[in-house]
Amino acid sequence: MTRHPAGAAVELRDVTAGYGGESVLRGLSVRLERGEFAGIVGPSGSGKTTLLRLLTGRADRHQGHLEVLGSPVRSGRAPHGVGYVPQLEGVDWDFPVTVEQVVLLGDSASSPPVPWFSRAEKRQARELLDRLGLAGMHGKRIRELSGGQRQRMFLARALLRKCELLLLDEPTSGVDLATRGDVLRLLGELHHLGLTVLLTTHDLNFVAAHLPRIVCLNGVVTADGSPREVLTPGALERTYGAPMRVLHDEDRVVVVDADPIRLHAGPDHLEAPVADLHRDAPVDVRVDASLDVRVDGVPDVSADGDRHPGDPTVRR
Amino acid sequence: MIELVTEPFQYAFFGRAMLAGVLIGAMCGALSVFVVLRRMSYIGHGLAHSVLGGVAVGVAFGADLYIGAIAATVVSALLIDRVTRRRGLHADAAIGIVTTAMFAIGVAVLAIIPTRVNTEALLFGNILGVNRVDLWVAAGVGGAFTVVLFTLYKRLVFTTFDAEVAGVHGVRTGVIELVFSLSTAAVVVASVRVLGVLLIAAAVVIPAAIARLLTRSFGATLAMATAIGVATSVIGLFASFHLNVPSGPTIVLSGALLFAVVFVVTAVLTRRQLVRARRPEAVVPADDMLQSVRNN
Ligand SMILES: Nc1ncnc2c1ncn2[C@@H]1O[C@H](COP(=O)(O)OP(=O)(O)O)[C@@H](O)[C@H]1O
Ligand SMILES: [Mg+2]
Repeated sequence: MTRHPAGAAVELRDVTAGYGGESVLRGLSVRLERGEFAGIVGPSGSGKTTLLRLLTGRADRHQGHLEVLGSPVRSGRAPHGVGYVPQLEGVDWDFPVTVEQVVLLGDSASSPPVPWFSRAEKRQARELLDRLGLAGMHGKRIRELSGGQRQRMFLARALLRKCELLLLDEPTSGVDLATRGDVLRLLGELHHLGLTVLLTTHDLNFVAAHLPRIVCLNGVVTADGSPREVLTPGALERTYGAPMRVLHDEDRVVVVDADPIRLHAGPDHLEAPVADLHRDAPVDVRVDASLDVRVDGVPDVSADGDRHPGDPTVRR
Repeated sequence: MIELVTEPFQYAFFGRAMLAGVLIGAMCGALSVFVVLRRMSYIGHGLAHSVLGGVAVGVAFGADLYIGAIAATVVSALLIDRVTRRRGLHADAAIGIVTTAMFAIGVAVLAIIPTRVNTEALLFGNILGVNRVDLWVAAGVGGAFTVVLFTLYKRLVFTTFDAEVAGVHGVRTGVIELVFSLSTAAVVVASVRVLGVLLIAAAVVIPAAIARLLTRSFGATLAMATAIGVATSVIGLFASFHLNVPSGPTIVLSGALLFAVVFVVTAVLTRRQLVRARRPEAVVPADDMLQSVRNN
């Protein structure tokens, strides 16, 4: 077992924070010990990304006390020892850089002020890429990587510097199920090596199945604890604002829609032609945010984010 | 034929214009990579437009062209820097309003107060007007910009690619962004004489747009865009001389033409590659069936 220095990895005491004068997070008190592995869940817009930004000095703290790895976080100054893996969706994948360059950029602030990286720096970057299973990929353009490979490239960038706390924003979205498993296994290994891991996800069943600790967020912390403690209909309704059912398997918890929407399979059930729908009342098929909705015969239609009228919910 | 190239150099002003043009072409080319990748093409547009207001007001008070231009761009650059840091406020709209208003002030002042300023030259660029001061300004800005690019290269690229994570990795992104804004302002000021305020925006976009079609790595894109900036400047200046058209339009048009050619050629080449790659499966019946189903 790794021995950790004193002080929590993350400590928030009654923190209110947001952007400018507007508060996105209110009255947050969370303590994450060093060596923990935790997930933050909540509907989209609940402030998950904002919380990660706050921990790296990139959101405004209005009130309360905030410490990361034993020292207070000042706005605009990222604390030392933190690695950050951003959400894949926000990245410009056409940016003209290679995989190796992305990793090397992680060293920009401490590297000498010349436009090139030293041989030693390159060797270190390649070794990291090799260890993360991206051997031979260093010369590829980032667009050519799969979702899981992209995730690991950013992991390599985060690990290029000394890193004790790893923050990952939605590492499970934008990758398929098998890759999700790979990424998680990799995070498990890093955790085993002594890293503290905090990730966000809107995928409840993912955290329920794999993570020892869950923090439910919806502007405020609505629940905090092990999956069994946290995943209760009451806490989930407080978090998501919609009723949900919690199914208990032998050693795991599964969350499903309280009231499955049964969509019909064929066109015979259409009461009105689609064209009429468009002309008359706008259709507003709402699927509860961040739930895995089971449509008859079609397993696992993941619905994250909001559905708006006008989305192709009715198809011919 | 060779006279087309040698003849202009018999005039001293053309040599000066060419020297300034090469410097400005290189700067605009290099800058364009960052402008395009940050999706901030409105920055060149806005800054250049605001220059007219600054110059007009400055000249009305008897100041040098560059005093007004510098004042206007520095104010606009700081404003753009502030505004783009706040999300929610649409930066392009805010900048559009402020800088176009400054442009309007310029037009109004030039109409009301009679000055020696040649408005057409200011709007569209003029190779006849390039003097020693312009050369010194271009050389000075070029030197400073080169130093900035050289020393801050990694941080600039990191901030351009992912400002958020760059900040986590200890890059002072606020400082980097300010440096970028001020560099842009300086390049715009240096380019006014040759390119004219209305055409600078295109000059800080086109080279990178072309280079991105042809290159893979950041360094190669930067080098290629710089070379393209120089080449279009040179071609444009010769065209300006022979056709007796202001230099701004000829430089921008040679860039646009080059873009069109490269765009078509690369499109044809990738298409050919795709077709070649697909040929074996092209006759698979299932594909045809799918196609006919879709057509129905
Ligand atoms: N840079 C920003 N400036 C202002 N408001 C923001 C910014 N980023 C996010 N927000 C707002 O903060 C709220 C929480 O967003 P976010 O933290 O991204 O949620 P999540 O990651 O849980 O989906 C949203 O209402 C969003 O509109
Ligand atoms: Mg988010």
